[in-house]
Formats: sequence, C-alpha cells, structure tokens
Amino acid sequence: MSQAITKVTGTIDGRGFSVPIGTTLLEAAKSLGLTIPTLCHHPGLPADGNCRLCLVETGGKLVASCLFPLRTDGEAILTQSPMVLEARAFTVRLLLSRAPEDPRLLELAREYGTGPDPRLADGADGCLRCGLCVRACRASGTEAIALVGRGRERKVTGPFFEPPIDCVGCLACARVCPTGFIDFSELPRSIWGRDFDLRPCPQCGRPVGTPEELRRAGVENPLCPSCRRLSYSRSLMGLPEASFSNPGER
Amino acid sequence: MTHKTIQVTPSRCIGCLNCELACASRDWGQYFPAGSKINLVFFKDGGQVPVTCFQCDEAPCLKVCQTGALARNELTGVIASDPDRCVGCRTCVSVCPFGNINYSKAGRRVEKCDQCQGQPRCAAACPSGALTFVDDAKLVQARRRAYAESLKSVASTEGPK
Repeated sequence: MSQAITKVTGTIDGRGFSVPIGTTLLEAAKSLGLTIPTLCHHPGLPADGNCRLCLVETGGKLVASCLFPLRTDGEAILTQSPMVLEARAFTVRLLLSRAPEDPRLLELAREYGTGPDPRLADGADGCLRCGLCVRACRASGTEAIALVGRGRERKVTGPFFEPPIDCVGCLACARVCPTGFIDFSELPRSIWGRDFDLRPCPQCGRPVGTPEELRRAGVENPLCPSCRRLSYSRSLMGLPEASFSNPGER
Repeated sequence: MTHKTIQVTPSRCIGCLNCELACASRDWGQYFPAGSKINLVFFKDGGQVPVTCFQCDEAPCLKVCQTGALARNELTGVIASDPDRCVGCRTCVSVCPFGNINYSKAGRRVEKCDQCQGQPRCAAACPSGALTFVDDAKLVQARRRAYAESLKSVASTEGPK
C-alpha cells in the first residue's frame, strides 16, 4: 500500500520548496520568487539549455536549471554560489562576444563584472545561437530554419544557407529573439532575405497576412478581423450583407 | 462554479464607447481604443453593437495554439491568453471566425477577452445596460420565461376546459 509520490522537496538558496515531480529547477526557483537570469528560455517553448545563463549548482555540479527536472527529494540548490557566479560571468563574457551591444547582456556584464573577450571579436554578429527562433518556428508548425554547423561555424539559416523556402513570414522567430538579431519588416512583409505578398482583405483591402501563413492556419481567403466582426454582426442583427464601399462603417 | 457570459443587448447600446475605453485602460493604463478587446461595430445604416470573444466551446484559436499561450479555465469556461507563452505566430488571429482575437504589435502579444477574471470592466462601464455579466443558466431561464410570457394569452384562452 504505497501512496504515489507526486511532490518533490528540497531547498534553493536555503529556502524550502515542494513542487510536483518533474518540475524544472528554473520553475521551482520562479515559484519561490527567485530570479535566475535566462536568455534562451521561453515559457511557451521547450527548453534547450543553449545560452547557459541559468546554470546553478547542485551536489557540487553545475546544471542548466531550465532543463533540470526535480525528481529526488533533498536537492540543495545554490543559485549564487562562487562556482555559479564564476561560470555565469564566463558565460556572459562569451555571449557578449557574440552580441556586444545587446542592452540585456551589457546589464548582465555590469552585474557580473565582465566584458567581451577581444579575441572573439570577429564573431560579433548579434546572434547568440540560442535557437529560440528555431524552436518558435517548429512550434508554429513550420520548420523553415535550423541551427547548422558546429562551434564558430554555427548559425541559424534556411536549408543550403539560402532564404528558407518553407518560411511563411509569420515573424514569430523575430518576436522571440532575445537580441533582436533577426531583421524583418511587417509592412511590406520580409524576413530571412525573403519578400512576401500580403493578401488583402476581400472587402476593405487591408492586408490580412501572407498567403503562406493563411494556408498554414487553414484559411484561404479570409476577411480581416474587423470585417469579420462587421460581417457577423450584420447577420446577427438581421441586416442585409454590407456593401463595403462605405469607409464610415467599421 | 457556473459559467458566466457577457450578454449583449444591442437595442440598449447607445454607442458611447465606454466599454472600449474601460477595456483598453486595464492593459494599457490609458484610453487606447485600438488596444481594446471589445469592439463597437458601427453600421452605416445606423445603429451599432459591441462585440467581444464568445469563449467558443469548440474554439479554433485554442486548437491551433501550440505553445499553451491560450488556455481555457475549466472552472469559468473562459479562454485567456498568457503573453509570456505567446510567440506571436498569429495563427489564432487567422482562424477566429469572428475576428475577436487580435495581435498587438505594440504589446508583442495576442490579446483576447478574458472577462477580466470574473469582473468585466466593459459591463461595469456600460451606462445603458447593453452589456451585462450574467449566469449562463439565468440567461436561458430569462429567455424561457420571456417566451412563456408570450404564450400566456394563448394558454388562458385555449386551456383545457
């Protein structure tokens, strides 16, 4: 007669926690109100542990808290130990060499007393290679971009280093990018070296979205949201179909 | 807990836009109608009606969201958006049949009505009773009663002898 154990307990910086088994260390720290710095973590996307900023110490080892599931009781986690602070400063130094002008990284550099490594200055393009954009793309139902290559050669790109043919131009990748590295334009729509058409609303002519993103959503030729509202409001009110030439109506 | 609905009575709407302003001021701290999650639709042949999310049972927006940014509160039936989880792919905006979910470029997130966690400001701000926040059960009850009332005269004249 053993009862299923569903909670796991331990301490973070001396403060006790009790969370469901499998909760990540980062989530547990957040539930205690503790802040662990992150750059490549997004609550809506699977964690990947790429930026290494969220390193914490447990059992004398460093672990990435965004990926570390709490499974055993009695874990004593330290988020501010000398080992953690040293590792984090080193991580900030490396990241800063990739994106030396990023305000969030500069703030972290001040906090941890470090700066960019001059020997790595030629890799400073603004991209951290954290892959958050790749994960957002995959979650949105497209796999247009990927991290390719290793070490210094690593980068985010479409297949064959060309503008990604599967990209639908939804811009989710650019919105989650922690450094704002991804160049894009909303109107006219362009990203990753590709220019997109924007399908106009059949009634008012305002742009609704790229044909590719509408196809992904499973809608072929939709009205824009405000014409959709107008159209069903008219039918609910028993009014005849609108003639959409009148701009006074909205 | 019973489900509650923002009931719209179009005939009572006076077109004052108070609902839009009250809605926008919650998230934006200012009267910014473009940030409102309830919208007045004005008809060119006169009249207007406020429209907001229906909290559909078979919600297309909820079905397409891959990051868990849209989630239904099973207690209240309300679908709320979590800006932290939204990646801004805007698929939900494309699939909403009613145009009641919007992407905010300014806020970099999807915005939809969450009935202000049980105390909708639009209904509180409505001066004419066009927007009321009522129990689903009572809504149906009231409609049944109104219909029954309309049958009253028939009932009394053609009742059993």
